[in-house]
Amino acid sequence: MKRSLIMACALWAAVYAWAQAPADAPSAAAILARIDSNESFKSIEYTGRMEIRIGEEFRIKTMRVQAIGADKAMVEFTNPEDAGTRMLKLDKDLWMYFPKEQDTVRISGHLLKEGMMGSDVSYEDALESDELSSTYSATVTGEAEIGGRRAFVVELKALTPKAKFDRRVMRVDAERFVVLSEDMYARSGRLLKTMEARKVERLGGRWYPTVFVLEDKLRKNTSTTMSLGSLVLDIDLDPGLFTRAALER
Amino acid sequence: MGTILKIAWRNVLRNKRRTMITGVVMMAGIGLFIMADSMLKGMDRLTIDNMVAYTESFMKIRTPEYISNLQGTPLEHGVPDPEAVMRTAMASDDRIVATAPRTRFVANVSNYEDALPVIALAIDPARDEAVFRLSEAVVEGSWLDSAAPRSIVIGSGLAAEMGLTAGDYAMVSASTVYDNVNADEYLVAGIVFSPMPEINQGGLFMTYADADALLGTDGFVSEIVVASERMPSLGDLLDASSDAAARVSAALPGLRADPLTELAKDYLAMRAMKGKASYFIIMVVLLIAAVGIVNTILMSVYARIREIGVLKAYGMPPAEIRRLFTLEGVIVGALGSAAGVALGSFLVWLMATRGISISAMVGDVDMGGLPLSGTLYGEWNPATMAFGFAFGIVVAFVSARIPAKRAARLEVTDALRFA
Repeated sequence: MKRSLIMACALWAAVYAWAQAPADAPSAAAILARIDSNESFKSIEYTGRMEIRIGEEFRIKTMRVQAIGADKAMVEFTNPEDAGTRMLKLDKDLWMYFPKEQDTVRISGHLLKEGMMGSDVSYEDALESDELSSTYSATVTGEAEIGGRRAFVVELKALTPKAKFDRRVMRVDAERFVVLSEDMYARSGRLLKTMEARKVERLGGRWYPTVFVLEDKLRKNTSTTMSLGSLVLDIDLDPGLFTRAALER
Repeated sequence: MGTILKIAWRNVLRNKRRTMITGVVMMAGIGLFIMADSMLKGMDRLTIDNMVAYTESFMKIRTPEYISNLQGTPLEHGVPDPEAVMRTAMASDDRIVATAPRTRFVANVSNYEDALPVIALAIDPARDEAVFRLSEAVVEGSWLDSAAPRSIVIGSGLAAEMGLTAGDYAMVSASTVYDNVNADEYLVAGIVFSPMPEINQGGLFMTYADADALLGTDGFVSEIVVASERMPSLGDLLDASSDAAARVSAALPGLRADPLTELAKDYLAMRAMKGKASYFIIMVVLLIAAVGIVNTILMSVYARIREIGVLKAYGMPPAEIRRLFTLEGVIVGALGSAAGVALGSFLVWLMATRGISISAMVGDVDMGGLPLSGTLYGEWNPATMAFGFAFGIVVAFVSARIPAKRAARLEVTDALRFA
């Protein structure tokens, strides 16, 4: 009886999702594959500008970012207050170099998940990309209009507990297959973060959000607008950039 | 020698006022010295006792891999089969009276306005209470209850900084065992104010059930904490901890039991440095006492130069005179030292039995991050008492010997004319 009830519910959910999905929508898996081909990268280089708003306070941080996969990254802050402060990530180890003190400090890997320089953007957000197709199952649950553009609403559920977020709700540009806005949820069901793309640019053959607003939902009245300049994806970066010697140069 | 001793004793009794003054000076100096030493040792004991009662326990059992990654507070390299480990530890040493599991992790506490990083601890409230005294440090609300899910206890300083009181809700987020972030809302069940600044400023405690749900762990235990019976002195405590840790380590291959000498090594290193400063303070106290003793004995000898002249006129040889006055000084010194040891013992007894409230003594002054609060109890130190007694006699001997020698060399006529 119980088993029949579960099967009936599952069937109802599938039918409901199918009924809600736009008639001309590609399959959810196809949407994820298109997003991956646009937004997933093996290496990245850009100059970033973060406009951090915390209540009434407003701060600007600028940086130069270079990263290979999820294992190697170098961030150098260029705004006057933090100029020369560098962060090196090698696998799960993190070091920060403070030029005024000429001192390198090893810091806890937990910092990768914290907001960078008090912003809503974590180091992971700034340095890594997700391979959505292999990590999440997806369902197209509807359609929306974001900034005048037609978007598919796609709900993602983690296939593995190691996924960055347990559940994600994305509004995906129906034509460019770029995530225009996103809600990211923890395993507990809590909303952790939201993202809203403000500018999407064409880079070679792919579309990529170059200005986006992130909001850490565990805090109130904060948001960070991240702008990516001189962005190059899948670039050949010298592994020598990601060493302690390069950090303390 | 018997006659000289008799005369010296009679002189001591005859000059009651002088003997009394010298004795009181020595008593005060040596008594204060013994008390100062007891207090400094009591401070060390209090500090270590607070560490044992609130953060470190008698010893900690962890894996060597966890210890080598301690800074990163990882959710891996935990204690395998913690129940068996706790049973083995209890059976390894009679001095071990309780054990409890703990899991340390980095978390962020948010009141939705601000977020602060903390070192959180997952605990089994009932077992933890048998090892630590945190439940007695609850100043608002109540201690954790396994039957009350989704609740936390936080340090008083953290609560003040976040504007949280018992009954409020706080958001806690942490990296899970899967290396992603999880967050949930918890009721602030209680607020603790302990002698440990690190607990007050950044302490967060939750039950294992809540921590497992937050971190995605399944009973992961990063350390086993251990309680012992109370040891009579700090030295005994440190020795017992080292000895018991060696036994537990031997009984648990693949695990490492760290004694207090390792867990409190930073404080113990600082204590060694502080020992030099304490030695200086004690030397100043002794110097003041010595100056008092020398002064009163010198006065007593010089006041009796004419008496020396009379003794010489009766034919007493200079060596006998020197011996007589030195003996007088030593008798006064011995009486004063004995009184000093008695006074010191009384003060130590008072401090050892009643204790002194540190907060009443220094108020809310920051003790530089040292866990030095609560009631300070004096420590008995027989070696210090023996040293104080011997020091009084030696100082009295030296301070009587020099003027006695000078007096014995005086001509009879000069001594009689001495004013």
